[in-house]
Amino acid sequence: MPFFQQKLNNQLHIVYTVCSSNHLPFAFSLGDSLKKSNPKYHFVIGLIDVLPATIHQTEFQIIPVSTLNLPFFEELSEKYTIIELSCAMKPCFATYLFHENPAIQELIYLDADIWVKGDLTGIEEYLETNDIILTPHVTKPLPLTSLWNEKAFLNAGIYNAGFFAVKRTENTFRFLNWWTERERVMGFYDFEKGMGVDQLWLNFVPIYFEKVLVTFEIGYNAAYWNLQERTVSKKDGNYFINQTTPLVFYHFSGYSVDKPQLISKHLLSKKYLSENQALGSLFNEYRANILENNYEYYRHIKPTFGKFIEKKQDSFPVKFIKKALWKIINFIENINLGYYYETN
Amino acid sequence: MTKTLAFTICSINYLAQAKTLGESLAIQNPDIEFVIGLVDRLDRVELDADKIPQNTLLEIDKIGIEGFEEMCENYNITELNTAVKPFYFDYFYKNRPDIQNVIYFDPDIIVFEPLTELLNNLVKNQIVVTPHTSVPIELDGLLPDETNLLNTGIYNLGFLATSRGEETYHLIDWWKDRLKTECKIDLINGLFVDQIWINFVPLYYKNYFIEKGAGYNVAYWNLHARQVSEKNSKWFINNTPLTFFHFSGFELKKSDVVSKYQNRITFENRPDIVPLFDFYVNKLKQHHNDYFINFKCFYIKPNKIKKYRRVRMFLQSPLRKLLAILS
Repeated sequence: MPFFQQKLNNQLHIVYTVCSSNHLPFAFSLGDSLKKSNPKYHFVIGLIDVLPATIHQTEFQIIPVSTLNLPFFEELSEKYTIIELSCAMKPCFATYLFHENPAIQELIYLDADIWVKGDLTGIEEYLETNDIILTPHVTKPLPLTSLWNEKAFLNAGIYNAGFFAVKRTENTFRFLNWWTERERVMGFYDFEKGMGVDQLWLNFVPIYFEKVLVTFEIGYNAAYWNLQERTVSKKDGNYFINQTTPLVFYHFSGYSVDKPQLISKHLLSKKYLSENQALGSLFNEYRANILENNYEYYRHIKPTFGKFIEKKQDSFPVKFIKKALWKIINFIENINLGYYYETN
Repeated sequence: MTKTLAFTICSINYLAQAKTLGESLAIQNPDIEFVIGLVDRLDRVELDADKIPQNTLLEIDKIGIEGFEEMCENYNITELNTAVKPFYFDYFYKNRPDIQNVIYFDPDIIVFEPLTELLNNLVKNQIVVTPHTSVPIELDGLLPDETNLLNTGIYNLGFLATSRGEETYHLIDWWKDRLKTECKIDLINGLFVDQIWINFVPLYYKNYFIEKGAGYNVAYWNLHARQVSEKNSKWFINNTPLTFFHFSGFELKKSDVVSKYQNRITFENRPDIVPLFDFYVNKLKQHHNDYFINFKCFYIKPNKIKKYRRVRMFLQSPLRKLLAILS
């Protein structure tokens, strides 16, 4: 039986992710990290793509999105970019997995660019008394002057959608249905219109649904947006947050294998990786894992689904001239030559 | 007994609303002190003495906001009136050691019940907020939809209740700091006046309470899940007493429109709300809405226009043409 048709039966502990084929090396690395840190978990990849010709991993279960037979998939594929489309598929896969295997009581979702280093049983414990678990981006104010400030979360959402965990209850299904419905219509990346793919919707979750736990556990979902309140350290090969709390999972959001000196394309400061050795070592290990998982092969696979956006790249001199022209225009526009007041 | 102060903020044009709120509080909550924070100057206008509310009026220039002039320069009337909110909270906690609780209400709110339950919640919590809605809004294509709330804030800041304590002080300081410069309506940059900042409260604080009770802050944004009824001259929402109603976006001069900010709720499709709005119309008339509404706020300057508009355009035009060719 081909690996991607493995049965979900008998698998009670499931972590799943969703991604397109070009991101498979990240998903595989997440799977590798789970195998080491949480071997009892079965790892499922919801593939928002057709299966590539070669698959180098045979241990993880890949479920191509076509398996779900979603009546609205084609419509979404036409209007959404691959990022928007993948985000919209998160709740769909949760519903599918619960439906396919009636024995599953809990599901953990992790973004493909997450790496699990510690024990996930804490989440299982939370789910004993809660139905839905979320993590916030930050738990303390950031100065307005910082490179990265709170306004970003007002736009993009206060909870991070790279992680959520749910328990099989009516309440959870109400949440998943509500989320799916919104993702079908309003899953764009368009902050001005109050949309931020799947993530911004989570702002409503603790208000709308019961038994929602927002966990402030510092070992969960560490990422560039909360490093100002969490310091990574390493002892005997294990990673810790703020010296004593084991790192459970790190989210390499915005990380590029081609720019190993940056922790994220959203945070263009090189100081984090140069100043913190432990963080540097975490990133190096992660990078090695990605490369091991045939990054060079998968990275070039064009996504089959999603609206194609043509990226027009200006040549360097054109870019330079344009920038200069805008500078002059803005100068003429803004130079202070006095004002008069409007009369009405 | 713990003392509670409730306040609102408005300019002279909204004094009829503020007076209506004050009157409603005095009837149901005589022990709560009420203050109108006035973003305006009384010494620059001549008001009919018999029309001025008898409530305490606390003018904005009396509370000593550092950098207030810059705020006036940078904000429009909505932004300015909302940006000063934490500064009033701060003023009350610092200058009135006898006060334990400070509660803010928008001027277009009417309180119908004793606030006993709320005051009890303020014993256990320092911050009480109300979400716009705790029941999802159907995808009916009408306004507001949930994306509007994601843009403007999960909680409605027409209401905010606090009790004296470390977290309240921290919230006020943090909020003041933000609202000095970032109390804009600027959706693309994540901003919507003072309100959207309160999204952070559940992340930053522990002693907060989210009041989802059907009788609290009832307004067009939650009427899809709340039915109004009247029994023995008392108002009910889904069979619980109506604590306070928020007439957001309602104007006396267009009294057939429930709210100018939405199109879901109408007096035709919601006859249950008609008697409540009739009641409000009478109150506003009685409190001289027509007289106050036309006063211009002292602090709002007319729009500034840059000089040499045409010269600037002329100089820019060849550069813009070149840009158009390049792209």
